[in-house]
Amino acid sequence: MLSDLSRLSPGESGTPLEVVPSPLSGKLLEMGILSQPRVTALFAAPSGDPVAYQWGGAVVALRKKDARWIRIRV
Amino acid sequence: MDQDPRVIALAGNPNVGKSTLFNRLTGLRVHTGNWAGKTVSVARAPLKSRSFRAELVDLPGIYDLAGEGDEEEVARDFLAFGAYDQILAVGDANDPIPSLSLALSLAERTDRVILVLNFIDEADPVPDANLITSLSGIPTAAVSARKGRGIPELLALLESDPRAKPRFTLPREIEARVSSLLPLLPSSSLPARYLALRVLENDGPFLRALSEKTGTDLSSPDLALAAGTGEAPMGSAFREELARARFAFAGKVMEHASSAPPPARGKHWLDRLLCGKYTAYPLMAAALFLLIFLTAVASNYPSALLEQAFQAAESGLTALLSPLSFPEELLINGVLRLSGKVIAVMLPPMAIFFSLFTLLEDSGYLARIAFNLDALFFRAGSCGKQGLTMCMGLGCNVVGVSGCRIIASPRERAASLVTNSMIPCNGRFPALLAVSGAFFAFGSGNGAFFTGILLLFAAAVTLISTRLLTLCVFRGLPSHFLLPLPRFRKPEILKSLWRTMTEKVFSSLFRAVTVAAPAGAILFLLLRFPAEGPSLYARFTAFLDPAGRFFGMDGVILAAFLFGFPAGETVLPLVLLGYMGTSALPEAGGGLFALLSAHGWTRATALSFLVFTMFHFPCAPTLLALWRETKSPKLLLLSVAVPLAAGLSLSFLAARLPL
Repeated sequence: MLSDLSRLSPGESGTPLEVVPSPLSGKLLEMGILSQPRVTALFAAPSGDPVAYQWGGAVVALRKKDARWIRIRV
Repeated sequence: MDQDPRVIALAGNPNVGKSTLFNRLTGLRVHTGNWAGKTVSVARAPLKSRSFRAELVDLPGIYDLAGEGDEEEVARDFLAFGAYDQILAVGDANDPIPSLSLALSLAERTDRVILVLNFIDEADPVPDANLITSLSGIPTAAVSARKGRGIPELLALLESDPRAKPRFTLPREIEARVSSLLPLLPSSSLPARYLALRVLENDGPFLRALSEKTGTDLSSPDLALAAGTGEAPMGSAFREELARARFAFAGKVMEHASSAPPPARGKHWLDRLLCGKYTAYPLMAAALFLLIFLTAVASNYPSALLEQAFQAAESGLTALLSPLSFPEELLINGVLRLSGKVIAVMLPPMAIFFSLFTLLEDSGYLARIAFNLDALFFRAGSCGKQGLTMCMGLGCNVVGVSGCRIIASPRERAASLVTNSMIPCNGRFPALLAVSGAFFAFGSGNGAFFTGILLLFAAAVTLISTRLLTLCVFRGLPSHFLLPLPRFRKPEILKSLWRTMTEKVFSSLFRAVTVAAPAGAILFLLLRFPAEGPSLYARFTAFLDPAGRFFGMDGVILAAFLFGFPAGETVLPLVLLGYMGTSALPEAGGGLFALLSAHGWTRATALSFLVFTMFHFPCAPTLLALWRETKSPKLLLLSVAVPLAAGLSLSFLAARLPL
């Protein structure tokens, strides 16, 4: 099923497909997000946003509004 | 033969231990300098090696927290156009794929690239450097900069000066487009393939910088036409494809080079605790309290010692040279006295505060604090990193202002810069504590509780001002937030201390003294002249008196704030001096309540003073830092106007409260 990163709850994961061009996309590409088989939502900040995601060996926090731009398959 | 040392640049993704490696290779002989007019400091130091001479350049400076924004721009600019001979692409052995991908992209620029995989002490399995070298064509070393493992091998590799021959080939379709561009490119000192790839990426900032710095203009219509033929992807889509190809190659190399894939990090138990729904806020409050408490308590003793030392020096010099000629008196009782005061009050708390702060940073907690606070700051139109710059401001606003570099998006950065001085720094703490203790002790015997309330109030006013600024002044692009959360790491206390002292404390202190010294001379002259009747200083305070009274204070207080412009720690001593009329800077001692009451202070006056202490104009070193960081008169003006407006209006109100 197609979805986006912001809809993952902590513990869930998906396969990244595409990053919609935005100010963040270049940085995300450099961090190799599209070359990873899985992206996992690890944990959320105390108020629920942002959320820490893991891909490869990196853990990166993104706001939900920005995580929306990363298309995934779950 | 004496030849120029080889210049070796250290590049790398954030949090890979570049600075540790830098210090290991140079033996901690760091001095910082500026590069290309930018203010982000780039550390340079000679390589510690007997066999050959080289200079190491650590890119970029203070916070490896975000790796975005200006700092990254500086690093990119340097890597593209800087004068260096060789690059060490530093990466994390736990996560080697992005570093190899980075090394591959750097190899487009120069063939003198070495991949250094750091943290092999933490990596399991340890990647095989020889295998990576032969599979990728990039010379590779595996080290632990902290433990010193693999460093001799790295030095030997550096000495042999190997060339990278990347075995990475571009996808056939991309290669064809690169080849078709090559004959059209003007000659340049940069490799043609490197330029061709940037043209295909349509990398605007790079192409602009290229034409500015080297005069090579790649925006000709022929080139654009050749680059954009057919349906082939251009710009960001091309960049995406190139990045994918590099990562795929790096992934394959690492798959073969490691016996097992690196274990996923998963959720650390400390994350559960430090970012937990119910534990995050109490733990942050506790950390902040501990930070302030330790700073306040532990700095008393060294501050007192330093002050005694300066007083001894002053009286010693006076006795030695007596009778003092006028210039001698100016130097000793004016310049030396104020500078000594500033050093004694500033140095110990800054050293302790920022050492502790660096420990928090190195452990990985600081990034979590930014993560936890982000939602709150997002509602104020900013981001969690502003919380960190506010904490740095507690130590010293100069450091807080330069710390704003970690904030990537211009809007949030501007708001954080303008509001930073509204968080009272260490230098203003003694005044807050003393006056709170004298007027708002509430039976507890000291002003700590009320000072705590004032701090919360300052944070609230900062947030409100940020919200107003982002609504009215710094509108524009909605911003994004990308924060790598580093692995938790046991901090190394001595190295943190060293880094703190060299990078933050000494430079701030030096700036404060350069402002305090002339101010001390001016103050001395104003107090001494004319010989008969009230001094110029007394006349000045009398002149300011009506304005001061309007805002709940008096002329002496306003004059103290004006003359406290070089350093906030001198304001309360200047108030006492204004009342007592002596030419020495007196101590804020036990009889403070009696003395101030005798000069008409009520609780309302005290509250106005406290509020104005928190919100007035930034001190001179902070303004200088603001100017260095922004070079924007508008931001400088706002940085004075916003806190001043808040301070004046709140003092006006405070004076009319029924206390």
